[in-house]
Amino acid sequence: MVHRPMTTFDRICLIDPMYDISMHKAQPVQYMERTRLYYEAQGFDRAYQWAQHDDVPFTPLSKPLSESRIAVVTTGARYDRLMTDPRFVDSGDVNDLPSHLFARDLAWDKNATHLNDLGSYLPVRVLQKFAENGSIHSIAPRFHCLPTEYSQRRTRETDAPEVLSRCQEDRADLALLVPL
Amino acid sequence: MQQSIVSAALQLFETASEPGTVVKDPNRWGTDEWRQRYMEINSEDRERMLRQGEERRRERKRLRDIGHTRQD
Repeated sequence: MVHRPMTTFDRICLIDPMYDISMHKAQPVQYMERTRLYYEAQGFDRAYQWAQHDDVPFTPLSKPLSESRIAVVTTGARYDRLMTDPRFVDSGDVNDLPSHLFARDLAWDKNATHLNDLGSYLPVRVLQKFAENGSIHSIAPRFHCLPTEYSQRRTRETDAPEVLSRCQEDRADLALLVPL
Repeated sequence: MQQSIVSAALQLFETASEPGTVVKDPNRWGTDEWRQRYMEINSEDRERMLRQGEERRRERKRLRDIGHTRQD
């Protein structure tokens, strides 16, 4: 099977809350294994195939952050979605932010955290501050909702190129991915 | 805290020199209770989980049958 790298942005940066850096409990939560066992316990007989891309392109920054425009990409949605609803790429205005996004259809620890604090998973306001103090040039006018899909093909061939195209329309230099 | 996490992510754009670079952020979640609990499967939950799975498969089939799926 030929993998086409998913890294269609100049940079992808993952902020992973699953990773614990404590010196005495330095084991990351075995997220993939637990997910596999969870769905197995629900009677799904075909385990999810995680995407793996051994050959990932890498492009160093072509200009400093202070001259770069940054787009934000989330896996949350602007509307309340059921697990069975079709998912599509969607975009919102960074100057007209909702109070929160929706993601009850995604697998995350709903006991440990919540979506009430928009800044914890859609860091637009922090980036706006960084633009004001000159750490970055600007934030792209739209944030993008990238749907997580069971189909890797759909992510690779439809959704990721669509987000890339919207980032390019907005003249973004970098994209910060914050998955839920 | 949000500011420091985003700042660390941005710095990674400048400092990463190869794909797959991971940086551990020094912020802590607070308690570690969630670590054990996340997607935990208890033996007493098994029947409930199987029922949930069956409901989900049934609902998916119903939606497929009426065309309520992505067509691309």
